[in-house]
Amino acid sequence: MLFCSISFMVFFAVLLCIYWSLPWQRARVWLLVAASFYFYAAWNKWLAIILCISTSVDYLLALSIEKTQTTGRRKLMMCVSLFANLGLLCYFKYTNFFLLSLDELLISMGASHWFRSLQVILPIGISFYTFEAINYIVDVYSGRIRAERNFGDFVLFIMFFPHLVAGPIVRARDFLPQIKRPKRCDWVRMHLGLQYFLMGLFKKLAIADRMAQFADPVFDHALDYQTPVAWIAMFAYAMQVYGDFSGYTDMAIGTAHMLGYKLAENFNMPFLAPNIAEFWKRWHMSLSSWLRDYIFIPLGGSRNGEWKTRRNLIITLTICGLWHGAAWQFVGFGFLQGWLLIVHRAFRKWCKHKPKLDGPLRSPLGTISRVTFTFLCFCLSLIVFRSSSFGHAFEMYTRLFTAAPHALLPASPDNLLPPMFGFWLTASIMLIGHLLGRSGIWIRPALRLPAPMLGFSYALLFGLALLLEPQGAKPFIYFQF
Amino acid sequence: MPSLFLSSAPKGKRIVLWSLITIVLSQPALSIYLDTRRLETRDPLYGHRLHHLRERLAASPSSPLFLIMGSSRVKYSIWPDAMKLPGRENSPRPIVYNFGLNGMGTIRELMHFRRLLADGIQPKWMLVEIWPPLWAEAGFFRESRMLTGEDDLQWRDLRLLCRYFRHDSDVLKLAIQKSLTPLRAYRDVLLSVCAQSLLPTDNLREIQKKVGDSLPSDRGGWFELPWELTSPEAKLHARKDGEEKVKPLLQTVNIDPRSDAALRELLDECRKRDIKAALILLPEPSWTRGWYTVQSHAVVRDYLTRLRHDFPVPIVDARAWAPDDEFSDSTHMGKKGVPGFCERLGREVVQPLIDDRPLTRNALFAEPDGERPLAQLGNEGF
Repeated sequence: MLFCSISFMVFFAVLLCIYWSLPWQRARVWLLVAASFYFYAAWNKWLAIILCISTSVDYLLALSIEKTQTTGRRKLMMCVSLFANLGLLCYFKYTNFFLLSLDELLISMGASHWFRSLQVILPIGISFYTFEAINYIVDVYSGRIRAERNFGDFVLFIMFFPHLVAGPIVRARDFLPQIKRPKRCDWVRMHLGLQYFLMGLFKKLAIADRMAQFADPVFDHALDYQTPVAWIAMFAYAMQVYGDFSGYTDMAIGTAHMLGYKLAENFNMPFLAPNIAEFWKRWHMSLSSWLRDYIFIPLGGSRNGEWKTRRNLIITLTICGLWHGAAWQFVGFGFLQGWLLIVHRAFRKWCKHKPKLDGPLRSPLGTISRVTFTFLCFCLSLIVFRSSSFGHAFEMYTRLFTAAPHALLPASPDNLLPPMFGFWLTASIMLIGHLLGRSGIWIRPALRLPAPMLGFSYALLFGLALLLEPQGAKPFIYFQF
Repeated sequence: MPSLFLSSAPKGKRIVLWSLITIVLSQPALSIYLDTRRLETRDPLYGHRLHHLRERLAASPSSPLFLIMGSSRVKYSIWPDAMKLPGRENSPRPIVYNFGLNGMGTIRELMHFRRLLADGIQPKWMLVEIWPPLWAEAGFFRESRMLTGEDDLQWRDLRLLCRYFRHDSDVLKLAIQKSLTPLRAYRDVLLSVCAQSLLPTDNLREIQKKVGDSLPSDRGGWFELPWELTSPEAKLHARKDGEEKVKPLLQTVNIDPRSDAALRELLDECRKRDIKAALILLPEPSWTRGWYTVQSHAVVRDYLTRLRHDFPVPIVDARAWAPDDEFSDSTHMGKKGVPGFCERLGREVVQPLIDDRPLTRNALFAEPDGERPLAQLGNEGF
C-alpha cells in the first residue's frame, strides 16, 4: 500500500475518523497496532507475523535485561537480541549477497559452482525496523531508557505504520513517551500534517517519478546516449532519489502528525549543503545520527587521533552503504562517501592555515561554489549507487567524460526520453522550492491568506501532483532497503 | 522546517476542511465536466463518433437516422455511401450511419446505445451485429477486456455495469476509479490538451493514434481497414491467428447469460421506443464458416429461434455474401469487397427495412433443413 495510492488514502481517511472518534487512549493505541499490522500484511501477511514475533522477542529480552543485575547476563541477553535482529536482517537481506560473493570468489580461484542463491523475499523496511529494535535494546542495556512494560506501546513503537517501511528511524526515547501522552484532535497539527503530506506527495509524484523518466533509460543503456544526456540523467537521478525519499518521509511525518505523533525530520535541504559533512547532517538525518551514535562513537569517534577517525569514518560509511542494499556497488557507494568525508576533513584542516583561501570560500560566491561542488560530488558518487554493477557505473562515467557523436540526442526519434522541457521545469520547481523554503519569505503572505484560499491552494497542489505524475507510480526507492 | 507554517487552531480547522472539501468535490466535478463538455477528450472513441454523428444529423435535420451497431467487422465493412439507396419523393433521405467499435459485443452495444439515447440520438431503424464469438464473454473477445482497455467508462455507465459485471470487480473498480479520480485516470489526455511537452513521446503518439482511430474515413461513419493484408504469407498468418482466437469460440458456441440479457434488453428498448431493429450475421470467409460444427450451428440456430420467438425482428444472415478473396483475414473484409457487399446490403436489407417491406428469403437466417426462415419475409412485430 503506497502512501501515494488511492487505497492508502481511503485506508488512512477511515482510520483517522475512527481513531479520533474513539474516546479511550488505550483503544487508540491498539487501533494503531491493528492498522499497522494490516498495512504491513497487505503486502505480505507471513512477514507481518515474523515481524510481530521478532518484536515480541525484543520486548521480553528488554524486560529481562532490565530485571537482571549481573552484567554478564545482561550483556548475554543484549547479544541474543542483537543476534536475533541482525540474524533476521542478514538472512533476508544479505544471505544471497554473501553466498554469491563467496561463490564468485571460489570460481575465480578455479573451483566450480558451490552455492546457489536462496529464494528469499526481502521484507520491505527490514533495515529500518531492525535499527529501531537495536537502538531500543542498546539503550535499555546502557540504562539510557527504561524497558517498556506495556506490550501494546512497544509493538506500536516498532510497527507504527508511517515509519515502518521507510523510516525515519525513530528512537525509543523520543517515541515511547509520545504514546503515553494523552491526545486530542488538534487542528494545528492536522493542518501541519496535511502540509507535510501534500508536500511529500508532490515531491514523490511530480518530481521523483518524473525525474525517473530522464534517469532510467540512460542508466540502463548509458553508452547509447550522448554526454549531455548522461549528465542530465545523473542530475535527474539525484533529484529523483531526493524527491522519492524525502517525499516519503514528509508523507510519513504528515500522517503521524495527523494521528498526534511527531516523527524526526529526515531531510533539511541537503542539496544546499556547502560541504559533504554538512550534507550527511542534512540527508537521511535519522540514519546518519543512528550510525553516529551506535557505530561511529562506539568505534572511538574522532577522539583517538586522525588516522583512527579516518578509519572510523570509512567503517561507518561503508556500513551505511551496505545498509542500503546487499550489493557491492552499495558498499562502494558507502566507501566513496567515507573517502569524501576524509578528504573534506583534510581540506578543512588545510584551509584553516590559509586565510586567503578560506575567506573567499566563506563569501556568498564561495558558498555557492561550495554548494555546487558538493552537489556535483554527491551526484557523481550516486552513479555507483544507481548502477546495477560496477561495469554499468563505469559505462556511465565513460559517457559522462567522453563524447559519443553518434549516440542518441534528446530529440532523436529512437530516444526513450520524454521532451527535455519536463526536466528543466521539474528542476526549476525544485530549485525555486529550495530557495523559497530556505528564505521562508512566502510564509508571512501565506498566513494572511483566508482559509478558503489556502484550502484551495492545497487542493491545487494535490491536483498538480496527480496531474504531473507520469503514468504508473513507481515504488519508493527506499522500500528495497 | 522553514518551508511549512503553523496557523491558529480555528483557522487550521477551516483550512483543512476547505482543502478536503475542494479535493473531494473537484474530482467528481472534473469527471462531470469531462463527461458533458469534453467528451472527445475523455473518451475519444465514443466522443468523436458522437460529434461526427451529430454534425451529420445537423447537416440534414429532417432526415431520420438508420443506425448500424457492431464490432470492428461493422466498423470496417459497412460503408453507407456504397449502399446507393434511392431517394424518395416527399420524404427526406434517411441518414445511414455506421457506429461500429472494435470488439463491440452485445453488452457494449447496449451501453453505447444507451449513451446515444441519453445524448439525444434517436434512430428510427437499427441494424445490430450479432456474432457467436462475442456471445461467450470469454477468450479474446470477452467484453470486459474491451471495457477495461478500449472504453473510458462514464458515470452514467455505472448502473448498467453494476448489473452486468457485478461478479467482475475489475470492470467495476475501473469504472468507479475513472469516475472518482479523473485527474489520475486521464492524466495523459489532460496533459496532451494543456502541456504536451510534459508527455513522453510514446504516450503522446498513443493518444494521437487513439484520436486518429476515432475519426471515421467518411461521413457515414465507415473506417477503411488499416491492416489490409494482401500477401499470401500475411493472409496465412492471419488465418492462423483466427484459428487461435476465433475457431475455438465457433466450434463450441457458448451463450453467456449476460450477453443474452444485454441483447434482449437492447431489443426491448427498441420495441419500447418504436425503433425498428434487425439483427445481422456479417460475412465470413468459407474457412471461418467451416469452423462451425454441427453442434455449434445447432446452438446458434436454437438461440436465434428463441430470440426470434421473443422479439420478432428480422435476422439477416450475410455470412456467405462475400467470396474468400475479398477478406483480409478470418473475420474482416478487405476494402475491395466492401462496395459490393454494401450495395447488396443496401438493396436487400436496408432499403426494405426503410420502406417497411419484407426482406427476401435469401437475406434471412434460414434453418439448415430448409424450413421457414426466421422472421420469414416480414417485419411483423414492428
